[in-house]
Amino acid sequence: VDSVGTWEIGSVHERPADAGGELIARIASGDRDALTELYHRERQPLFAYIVHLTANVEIAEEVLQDTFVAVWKSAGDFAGRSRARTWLIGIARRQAHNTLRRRTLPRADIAAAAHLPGTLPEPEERATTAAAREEVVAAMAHLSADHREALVLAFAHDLSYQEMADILGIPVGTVKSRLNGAKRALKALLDVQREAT
Amino acid sequence: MMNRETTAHVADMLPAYLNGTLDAGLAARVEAHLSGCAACRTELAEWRAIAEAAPILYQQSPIPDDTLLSRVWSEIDRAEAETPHRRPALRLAWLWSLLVGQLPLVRRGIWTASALTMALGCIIELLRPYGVGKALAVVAPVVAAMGIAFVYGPENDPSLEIALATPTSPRLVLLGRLTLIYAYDILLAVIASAAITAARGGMGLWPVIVLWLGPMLFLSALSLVLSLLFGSATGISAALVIWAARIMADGHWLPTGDRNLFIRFWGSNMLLIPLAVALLLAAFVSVSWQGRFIVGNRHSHLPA
Repeated sequence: VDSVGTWEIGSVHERPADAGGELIARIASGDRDALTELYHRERQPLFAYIVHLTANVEIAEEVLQDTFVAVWKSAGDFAGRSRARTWLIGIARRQAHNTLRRRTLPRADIAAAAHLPGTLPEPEERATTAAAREEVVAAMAHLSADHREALVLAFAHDLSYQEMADILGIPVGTVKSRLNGAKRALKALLDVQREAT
Repeated sequence: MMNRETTAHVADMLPAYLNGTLDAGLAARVEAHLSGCAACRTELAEWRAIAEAAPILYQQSPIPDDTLLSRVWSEIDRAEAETPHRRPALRLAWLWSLLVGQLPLVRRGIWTASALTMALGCIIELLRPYGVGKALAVVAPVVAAMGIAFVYGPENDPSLEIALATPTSPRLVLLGRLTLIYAYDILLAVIASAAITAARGGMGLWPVIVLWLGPMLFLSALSLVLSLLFGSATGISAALVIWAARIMADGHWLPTGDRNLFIRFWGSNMLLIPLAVALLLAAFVSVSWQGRFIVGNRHSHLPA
């Protein structure tokens, strides 16, 4: 419990305002600059998400391309009931699944595919906070695809439970239990590593 | 002293609390609880470690290739060059390909089951227990209601998810399939009507068609709406129960006044056909409500 002494209320971060909806409305009216702007704004988190789903950088590029083509074609259907980012992630996820199905590739462990730390850091590096964080990052790369997806949707995309439920097609209760399952699995991965040293 | 609200553990809310998606009231409750609960503070610290690691995992991901945006544009330009919107002939060809594309996606059993049921209606007609067209008027609406209930929805169509991800909108997919099933069922019923009038005589083709057309459109539209709302099994069951009530109304289980009203309703194509159109429009609205990316759990997206 002592290790939690740094707990502060103030560090809960604010969600940025969603200006994407306006961009999508401009895209729907045929504004090409708006798509370019959306691309530059969203490509990094979106691409990271797709890499985590496909475990293959080449396929991820294809999926990202398909995603923005689909955004151009279906921007008119965006009704603003969800946030723009949630809508984009939904499209990217579907494009990724279609591509994987077409290529009959399994959703896989991403550590090997992307430029991610495939091995956990050496124990002596764990002394500092930064090293401890790296350890968690490395362990996340070894989670199952479902667990990792839940964690990145919650903490890299800052989605609400309801938004995650919409994207994953599961009830909100299952979102919560999947997050808890991911946390337990992560702890187990870290424990195994610590016992081994 | 803590009240009951603050003593209940808040572990389930911690991820939402950390990423800022918890509403203010709940966040305040979480904070009140955390100040007095060491176990939940430990949980929070663990979640915070994960919350801090997730963006780092993302930063370590590769950056997309710089040529990707130009590839996006050339793909869009290629697609727009082929777009059917400006040329009617191409548009028709596109609509045709949409229809043909739906063909293998509609449950195969529907075609056979519809034809067999309609054939059964013809056999009963030829045995002549009732007036000309009466048996057909009972069978044709059932055939259409069954076919239409299975026309749409993830339980009927594992590839719907793909279909919805394509530029074809969910409404067009639904429209394409409805057109196919209605065209098939109406064709079957017209052929059956022609066969019956030829075999039995005494009644023209059009009066026989009038017997089944309105009830067929209304009952099947009703079964479509119910199956979109509650699933195909419910849609069909409800439609069959309603239709059974209509058939039984010919007996004497309803008081005469009500019975006459009920029978008149089902006999009035002027009323049934506009109602069917209204129900079909409602179905289109419900499909657009489900949105493009919400498929797996569509029930949660229907209006409460």
